[in-house]
Order: sequence, then C-alpha cells, then structure tokens
Amino acid sequence: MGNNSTLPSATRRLFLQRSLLALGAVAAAPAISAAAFADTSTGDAPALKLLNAEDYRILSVVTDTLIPRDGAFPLGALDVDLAARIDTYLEPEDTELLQGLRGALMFLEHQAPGLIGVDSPFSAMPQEQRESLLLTLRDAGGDATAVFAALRGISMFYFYTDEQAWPQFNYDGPLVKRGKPVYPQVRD
Amino acid sequence: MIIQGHEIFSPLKLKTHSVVVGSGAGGGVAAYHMASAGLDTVVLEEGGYFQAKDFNQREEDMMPALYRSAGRQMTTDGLIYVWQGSTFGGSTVINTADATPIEAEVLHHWQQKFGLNELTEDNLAASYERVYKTLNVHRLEEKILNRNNKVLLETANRLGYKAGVFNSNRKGCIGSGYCFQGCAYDAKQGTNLTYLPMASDLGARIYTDVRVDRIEPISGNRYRIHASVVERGTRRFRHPVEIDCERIIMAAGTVHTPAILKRSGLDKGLPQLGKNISLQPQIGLSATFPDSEKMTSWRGAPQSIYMSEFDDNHAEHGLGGFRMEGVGGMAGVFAQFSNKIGLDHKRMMEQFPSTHYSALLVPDQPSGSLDWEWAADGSVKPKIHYALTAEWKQRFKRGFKTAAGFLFEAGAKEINCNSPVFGSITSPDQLSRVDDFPLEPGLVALTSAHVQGSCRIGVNADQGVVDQNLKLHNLDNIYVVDGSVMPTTASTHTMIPIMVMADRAMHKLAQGA
Repeated sequence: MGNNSTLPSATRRLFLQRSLLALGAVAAAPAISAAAFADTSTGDAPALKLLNAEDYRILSVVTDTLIPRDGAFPLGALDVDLAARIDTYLEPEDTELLQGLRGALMFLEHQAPGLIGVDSPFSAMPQEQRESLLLTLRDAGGDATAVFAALRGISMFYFYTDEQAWPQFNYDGPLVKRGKPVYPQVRD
Repeated sequence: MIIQGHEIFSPLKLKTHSVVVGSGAGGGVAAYHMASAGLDTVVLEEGGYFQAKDFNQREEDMMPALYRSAGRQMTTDGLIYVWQGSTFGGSTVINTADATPIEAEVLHHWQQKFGLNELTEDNLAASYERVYKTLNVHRLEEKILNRNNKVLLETANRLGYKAGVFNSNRKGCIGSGYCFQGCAYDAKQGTNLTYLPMASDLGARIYTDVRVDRIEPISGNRYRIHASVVERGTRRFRHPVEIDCERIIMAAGTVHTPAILKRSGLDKGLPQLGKNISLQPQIGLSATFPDSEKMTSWRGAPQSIYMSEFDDNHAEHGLGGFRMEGVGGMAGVFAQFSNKIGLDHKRMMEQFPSTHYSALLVPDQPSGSLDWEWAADGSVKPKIHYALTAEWKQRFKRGFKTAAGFLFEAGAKEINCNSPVFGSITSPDQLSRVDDFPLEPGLVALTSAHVQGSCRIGVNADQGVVDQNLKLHNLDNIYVVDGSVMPTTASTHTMIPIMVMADRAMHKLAQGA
C-alpha cells in the first residue's frame, strides 16, 4: 500500500490501541441529546468537549456509514449523535489519542478515497461508496486497516453501550439504573 | 480506617511498622496478617475507593474507574490488552470471582524446574483453608448458571469431554451478570469486602489515591517510602507523602511492583527483575445460535463453566493445551467482534440474545519482559514486551479450530471473534481458514487478565527475585506478594493462587517464623 508512510505515528498508535477510546476515558459531561441532531446529519455541531467542528462532521459521517439507519433495526449512529457521545469520553490529558483520532479522520477524509480512484472527500461520497471504501481499507492491510479498525472499534463500542440502542438489539441492560460514579472534587 | 485521597489536604508524613503497597489479592491478605499480628500497618492504594453503590454495570464508566489505564494497558506491539484492576481491592473487584487453585502439575513443575521444594500441596493446605473460608469459596449455585455457560457443559457432556462448574467467592449472588464492572450487590467477596475491612478493624490505615513512587533505604535497616496523593480519575499529583517504616510488602501487581523497585535502585543483584512475564493470552469468540435458543449472556454468572478436555498440564511444562470458558456482560466489547460493518453488523447484533460468548484461553511459557519510563511527576509508563512464540501460535490455531468445531457441534450457525479483519466462519468445512488467522497487532485483539512473573520466586538471586517466603533476595524486610512472584502461570484464574502464596508467606511472617 502506498499509504503506509502517510499516517502520523499517533494514528498508528491509535490503531494499535483501537479500543482505547472504546474502553477508556471518564466522561465529564452527559451525552448530548440526539433529538436535536438526528435530522440534521452533518449540520451544525453541538457543543463539543474536545473534537473540533471538522472532526465532528467527519466522524458523524463515519459513524453513519458504520451504523446506518434501518436494516435490522431503525436506530442508527446519527440518531444518538454518536460522534458527540464519543467526544464526551475523550480526555484532555490524552493528547496522543486525540491526535491519533484526528489523523485517522483526516486520512479517511482526504487520502483514502484515492485508493479507489475517487477524487471527492470521504464525507461527500454516497453511503454505498463510503461503505465500499471502508471495506477496502479493512482488507488492504497496513495503516489503511489501522484506520478502519480504530474507527470501527470506537463507533461500535459507544453505540452499543448507549442505552438508546439497547432495545434495538433486544438487550435489557444493567439491573441497576445509576449514573456515572462521582469523583470527589478537590480544591487544594 | 480508610482515608481517601480527597481527604488529604497537605503533605503527609507518617511512621509505621509495615507498609503494604497495593490492596488487591496479595495486598489485602498481607494487610490482614500484619494487622492481626498487632503491627502498625499502612496500606497504600493508587486507585480510588469505590463501593457497590458506585458500580453502575456500564463498561464505558467502570473501566475508566476500576481498571489500570482505563483498560487500555497493552503490550508494546499493541497485540494484547493487559487488564489489571486499579482500585481499592485491585483485580479482586473486577474479576469474575472464579476460584481455582494452583494446579498440582504446576507445583510439580516449579519443584522440578526451579527447585521450589517448599511450595508443595501439603505446605499450602492450611493457606487454602484460611483463604477459602474468608472468601466463602464454594461451587457456584445452579440458579445463577446461564444458558451461555451451560451450553458448554451440555455439549461437553454429550461429546464425552471434560467440563465443569467453577468454584467461586460469592455470597448471596443474584446473577446480575456484570462482574467485570464491579459487583453492585456486594456479592463478590473480593479483598474490598473481606481482608481489607478485616485489616481496618484491626487498626490498619488504608489510604486510597496514593501512588508509591520510590523506596529509600535509610539508617537502621529501615525504609522511607516516597509517594504521592493523586487526584482520582486524572491521577494528577496533589501532595507528597513520606512514610518511614521497618517493613515493606509489595503488592502493586506484576507490572508496577518491579517498576517501583527499579526506580528505587533496589534492583541491584536481581537480574531476573522485570523478566519472565507470562500473559496467558486469550481471544473472545462469539457463536450465533438459532433465534429460539436464547443465551442471554449478560445475565447470570458470566464465567461459570469451563470446558477443559484439551488442558495439557504436566510437570514438564506446567499449564499447556487450551480451554474454553463462558464470558458475558460486556455488550460494548462484544459489539466489536467480527469484521462486519453497516447493515450486516446490525443483523449480527440483532441476534445478541441468541449469541454465545466464550474465551479461548491458551497458556503460555514465560517469555516477556518489562521496562519503564517515568514522567516528571513520578508516574510510571510501563512497557510490556512480549512476542508470541511459534509453538503458542500453533496451539492457538489448533485451539481456535477445536473451539469453533465444538460450538458448531453445540448448534451454532456462525462464529466470529475479536478481529476486525477475520471473516465469519459459517460451517465446519471452513475451519481450515484458521490456519491463516492473522495473529498480528491490530488484526486481532487478544486479552490477558493474568499477567504474572516479573519478580518470580527462585532459590537464589540468579534464579529469581524473591525466595520461597517471598522476601527479596537482596534486601531484608521487603517482600513481594502479588502475581509477579509466579514462576509460570499458576492457574487459569490467579486470584486464589496469589492469595494462597501471600497467606503462606505472611502468616509465617506474622507468626515470627
């Protein structure tokens, strides 16, 4: 693959730790309501913790490609504003991870389409073509697979841990209904 | 007494007899024995203090709260996640409460290969009795066995394979199913509910949110511990801590115990420190069954039944072969299984209730090593170097094919695993594809829940870091009682082996033997 030298090292690390975001990071803010965003697709970004508007826009398209609406169940990534949910789980201390995520998004948006001879950015491609490109990345090996695995892992984890998704796949979820554990606030 | 980090508002200086570094399986046992001997005892735990009321059974919240590095600790090549607890109670809070002893063949292996003649079943018997009683170890009750696990037992019975129900350290378990996220009902009898409260009742002071940075030998055969009060969550430095003591018992885990010794310059004359790492890597498998066959993997005891027909345990090599164990309660992690996306993935997830999840455990020989970097604030960045051997890879593939064939025999329609590139297996005649399974970083996510071996027991300093009483070979009054002392993988689950080894050594120490 000609793309192997084009990824920043942080993106490669993201690949190697592709569940980093999925498994980690303490949320400091509640997930933004999906309702306001559900019908706007990649419209105005909600208030974001760490992602910028461009990150958010591209990540929204990625999640929509990975978990589209309809099919086996109606709910899709856009319905829960999955990109915003992922943003809430990022931590400011984890700069490498954030850089890695940005690198993956930029690669997918601007360079990956060239792998299948398409000039337009990923987010401008039709759904079917976007899915086809992601499958191409999956099977390509090297950094292309890195990007696929990283973005897929994050998206699947945070979508299927969102309680809005649970009824869709016949999962009734935890028995206890509690919020996140509260960490003591310290003022030295 | 339990003192949480946020209750400390200024630098702290203490004097005590014994300091226990870490509060998991080994640390809890050590703290209890020291306190029960009437010794002034301080326990230092880097993680936070959480109770049942804090556990919300959600992966995205509890893994950052309870796991080392939020569950993101990995080998340096990114191939294997290395899960460890980092909270009051350590890994005993996040494990699945499976109580397995050190296998007899493992003890024989240690005796034959390493000359550890004191570690016999007879010499450990009293420790098993004490530990089992404290933890309420018993065979899991039938009522909390779920279909996800029972399918292993029923299929094994039909095929004439060995299988069984785990012993467990639960009390009053209702089978809610989220052991990996801490027990919200105080049923799992980890050190957080047993040894640590017992030690506290005997006068031990247990500090949480306090990270030990280094140990300084001072005059009179004493030590000064330099530590840091850290902010919960971010673990940012808040205040320095100094503790002068006579005895230190290290129980910070296989990755961090040797890091503290190394940073303290106490590794001189200990050539085995940080070496001989075993991970017992495992892979998650999923098997989709017909819709009518509900597995409901997220309810009941998640890891309650094993299929052990292919265990190959011998005195020559310790644990070998491979085995299957049911798992459950992690919808977010399981959603990453398979290589599907889009509508195909949604179709797969729609069958979540009728999907079985299990782990294929493949024991390894100790071959990894550790080194470390330290940040300016004293926090450590461990590097876990580990390479799969050719023999392990072959055994893994044989195990994968055997497990997949077993699941088809059980009635599965489709089998997937935690690889984003390896496609579904939909019939037994596709099992030969496993020969080309991509055991490479990023192409599969293996997991280790039982890292062991960085401070292994040896008869001398050339062979190991600690002696058979778990004392450092090169210094008096420093002991190691966590998983790092295991010369090879002790068992398929390591909580009981760690506790029993710790109990034997600390009981002797407390009795003045």
